[in-house]
Amino acid sequence: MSFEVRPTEDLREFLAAVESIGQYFGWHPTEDDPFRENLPLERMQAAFDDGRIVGGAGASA
Amino acid sequence: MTVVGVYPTHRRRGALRALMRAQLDDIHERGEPISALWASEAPIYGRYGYGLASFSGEIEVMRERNEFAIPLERRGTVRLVEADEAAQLFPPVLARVRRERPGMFARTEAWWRTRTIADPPERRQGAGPKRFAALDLDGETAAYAIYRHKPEFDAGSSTSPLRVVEAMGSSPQASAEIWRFLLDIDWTAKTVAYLLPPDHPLFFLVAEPRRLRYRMADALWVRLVDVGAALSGRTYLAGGAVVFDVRDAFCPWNEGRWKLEDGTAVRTDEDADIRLDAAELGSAYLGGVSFAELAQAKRIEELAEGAVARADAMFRWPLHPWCPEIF
Repeated sequence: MSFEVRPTEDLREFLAAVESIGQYFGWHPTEDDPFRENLPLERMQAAFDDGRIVGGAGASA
Repeated sequence: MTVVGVYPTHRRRGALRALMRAQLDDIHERGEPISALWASEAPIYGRYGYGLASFSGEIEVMRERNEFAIPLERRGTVRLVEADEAAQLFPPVLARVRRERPGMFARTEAWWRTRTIADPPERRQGAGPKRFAALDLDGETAAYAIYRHKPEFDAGSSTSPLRVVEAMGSSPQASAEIWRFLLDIDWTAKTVAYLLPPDHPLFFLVAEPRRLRYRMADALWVRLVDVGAALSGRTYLAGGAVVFDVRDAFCPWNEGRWKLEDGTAVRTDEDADIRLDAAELGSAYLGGVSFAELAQAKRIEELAEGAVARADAMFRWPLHPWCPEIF
């Protein structure tokens, strides 16, 4: 199975991508989450399946 | 690298591999020579070229067994400060510590504000708010501590742990003084701290190191995204030369022989001294894991006699890598 992977483009995508790991820690990322300030949208990669985000990976320098 | 995950509905279908492919390609294109992460589960990241590069652990020391081996002569003064002042005073201390310790990263102002100083109630895990303590010594803030009280009682007596979020001292005296302050706080039964390196000064400060109940685990994982730039970018305590034959299936631009000589790495056609995967080079990169350890575990292959010892002399660093927070 192949996934489309690209950087997130807006806050909704960003939060959905972050939630891909957040859910395992009982964490629901919100607009004021500290990750927003420390992780640029373009460095948060999201994996899509049929238009839905199913995974994420971020990087900050 | 951070916040890496796949929804449970799509596990084991290649989503993580696709994400790692995109991230490492992006990091490479940006010219960032290394990537580091904390692994939620250790087996995941070796396949992408990350190697275990440091260890850290937690302590839980009972109040009645926390005496120092040599009584401390205090020269400084500890005062509690508010969050705003902590945000001003603490970063220079960490910056000084970071010059001596590999494995620490430079926090931005936003990182300090939103992650280190910020204290949303949902992150307190049943404890009280963060307290901020600054040690004034020789005219400057030389150490700081961030900690929480978690009040607990049994039959009217305190069984409370004091949770140390972070404590840093920019000199041995400063570090000893801030830890003595933490260990002496009243109405606590024990002090708990996390992510301490295995060579933390506490082991020799206290009279009974076993009573720290240190429990160690893997900490930072490092991936050399650009082997040449990464090897040329770190400081070495000894000169010399070693040729690595690097295998790197996931980032094939690193494949081949690299000669590291007097702090500079270049591609070479010379015979290799050590054959290893990129992950093992990542393990050794910060100086906290020796090539000898990796050879003992059959992780690397010594092709020329004495090469492992020579590489260790070059990569060794006096202090173990320390990343004091999970990101």
